[in-house]
Amino acid sequence: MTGSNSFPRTVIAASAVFIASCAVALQLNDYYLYVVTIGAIFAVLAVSFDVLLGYTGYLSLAHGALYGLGAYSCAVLTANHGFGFWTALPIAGLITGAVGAIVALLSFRTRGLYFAVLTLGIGLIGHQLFLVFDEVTGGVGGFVGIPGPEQPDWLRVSPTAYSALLALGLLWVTFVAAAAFVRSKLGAACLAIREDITLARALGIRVAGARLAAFTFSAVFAGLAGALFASMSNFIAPESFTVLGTGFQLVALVVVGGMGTLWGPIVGAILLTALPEALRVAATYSLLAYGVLLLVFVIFAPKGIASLLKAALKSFRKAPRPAPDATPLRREVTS
Amino acid sequence: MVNLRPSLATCLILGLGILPMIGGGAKAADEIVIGEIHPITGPATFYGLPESRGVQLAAEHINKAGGVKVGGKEYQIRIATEDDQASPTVGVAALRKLVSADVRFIIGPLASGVAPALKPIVERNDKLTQLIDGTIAENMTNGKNIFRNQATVGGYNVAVAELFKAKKYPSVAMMTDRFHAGFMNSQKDLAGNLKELGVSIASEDYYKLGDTDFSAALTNLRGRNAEVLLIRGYPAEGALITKQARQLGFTGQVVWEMVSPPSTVLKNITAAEMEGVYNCIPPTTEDYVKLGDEKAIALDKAYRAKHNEGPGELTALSHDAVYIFKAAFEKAGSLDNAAVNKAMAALMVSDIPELVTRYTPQPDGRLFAADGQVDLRGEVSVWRGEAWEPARLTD
Repeated sequence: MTGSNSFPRTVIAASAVFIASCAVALQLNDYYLYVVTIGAIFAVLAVSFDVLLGYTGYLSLAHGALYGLGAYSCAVLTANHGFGFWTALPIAGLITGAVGAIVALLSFRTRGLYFAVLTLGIGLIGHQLFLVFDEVTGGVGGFVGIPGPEQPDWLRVSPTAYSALLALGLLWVTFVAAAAFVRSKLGAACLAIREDITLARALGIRVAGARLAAFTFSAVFAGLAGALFASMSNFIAPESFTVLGTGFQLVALVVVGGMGTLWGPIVGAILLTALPEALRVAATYSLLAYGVLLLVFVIFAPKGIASLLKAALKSFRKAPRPAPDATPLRREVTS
Repeated sequence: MVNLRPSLATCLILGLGILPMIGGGAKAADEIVIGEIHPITGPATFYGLPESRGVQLAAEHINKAGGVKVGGKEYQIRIATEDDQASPTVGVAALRKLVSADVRFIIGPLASGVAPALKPIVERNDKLTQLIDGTIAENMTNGKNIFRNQATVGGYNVAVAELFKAKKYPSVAMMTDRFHAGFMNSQKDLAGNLKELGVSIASEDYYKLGDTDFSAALTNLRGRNAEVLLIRGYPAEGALITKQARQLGFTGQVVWEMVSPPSTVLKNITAAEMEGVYNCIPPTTEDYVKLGDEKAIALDKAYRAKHNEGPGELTALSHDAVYIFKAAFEKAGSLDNAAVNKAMAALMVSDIPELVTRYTPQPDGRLFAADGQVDLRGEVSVWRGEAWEPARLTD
């Protein structure tokens, strides 16, 4: 972890990447814009999920359902109650955050495997509720007629490009918020919990508050991602929010990308969401591919692609050792 | 010292991830590109692949016969295939990919989960015309730029009601795939129709695609002494439910309501165990072949020659869809979507002599009703030997 003085530079760098990504995205056709949008939405999910999994050490399998809750909240608010997208978006995030907090209070009564199993149950219940409450959710037939995000008149881009810009914007907000969170005292407490919860308690760290904050943070952003997904798709169905689908996919994104780094999950999202779409990997093998990738990374690179890239960058930056007979370089002292 | 390395890496990776995505599609002159969206891979491939092949086959035949004549000019048809994997998200991506490549005429999709996800995109785009050849879910067409040459689930239910009426079954236990939007949304209506016929609904149970053990639901069902077990969903589960029901001692009549290729059925049940099971769907390619329909026999022969296996049950619909587009292009005399949509709505069944499927014309002879839906009703078939054959309900 870097010191708090690096935060402004992280924001500047993230902003530069965001602007560059937007500039590139605006050159893309409708299809690739959609791929970027879906990739960015999953990157939002992955970054926020990593705050819980990578920084706090808790594996939640309820996040597929929380993502769905955000989507259905936005759908109901905009299609049934006439709310605008910009009003519905934060409300969907808050609703999901509140439900996430309740889930957290229930789930944190357990630890380790039991936590994962309990959240798995909550994820399954959530998905079933989307099916059962068909008068609100549309059931298996899905929720149709969700209004798209209102586009300002001055922004003269296609609706698809606008969705991509919104998704990239949400990714920027998530990244910056997550960077602020992990650099805060709460973030430090989460790291301590991840490393050794007993020691953290002994040191007087308020474990309950820190992990509740991490879960709620990840739930809020899962809800925001869901709301944007619903609005840009104009249609949602329960099958987009299953434990085996989205819930499992999130774990794969973070593990393959690199737990405990904020940019690793973005890499994971690009690799496992956008590129398979671009390359059209056959559905028959997609779950198999996820399984194999997880196995390979857990065994050979448990810290994910992020660690591999860091190692590669480090070795690339190492100065070549001078040959024994070469003239030694003179070190110039400038300060 | 500030550590910028992670952020720089993010920049590089984002750039590398996005750059290869820049691209597009192009089409040659004098050709009409028709996009087809079907599940070529994934759990519904046994429906989707034969549909895709049916589209390709029709295009090849049209091209060999001189192509499409539009406004005094001849065009060849090129098919652009996209795999939706029966997933809404993948289906939307597939449609956007075709739109980005300037494809303006679409056949598909198959899955009831994909069609509603595509509908708002197609409705908003006046440069798209869609002809659905797969999904049976209700309310998928608009008669403006979305049409369908497949039956609705309501059309399937007509055959179920006819069977119950003819056989005077007193009671039924229903088992429905809870993830099949078409069947789930029509469950109440079907139950209501059967009640009107005096049929008692003994139970309504649900299962999902991929389930393999139905013993709990079937044991419960057996206790209710239903005369008929009505299974609505997909054939793999239909076969397992039928098999397990027999093993648990159910001796009543089994009725299916699903498109079910014999090859898929026989993976999970023996032909002997299937003997006498009824199915209530519109006639399939195989049914038309058995009826001695010359066009169906020609399609079957061409399909077997090319793929070394028989066509799928929906192949005729997909094959017909290409001919419907051809007729609409020629009637419109233009490739402008507005003109094609108008011609599509005005097409008469008699305008398309190549159709394999026997659609019931609208009262004025048109193929499509005002909402863009054809009239295609389910008929009852029965399993005999190794396959389905048309049933005679008076037996």
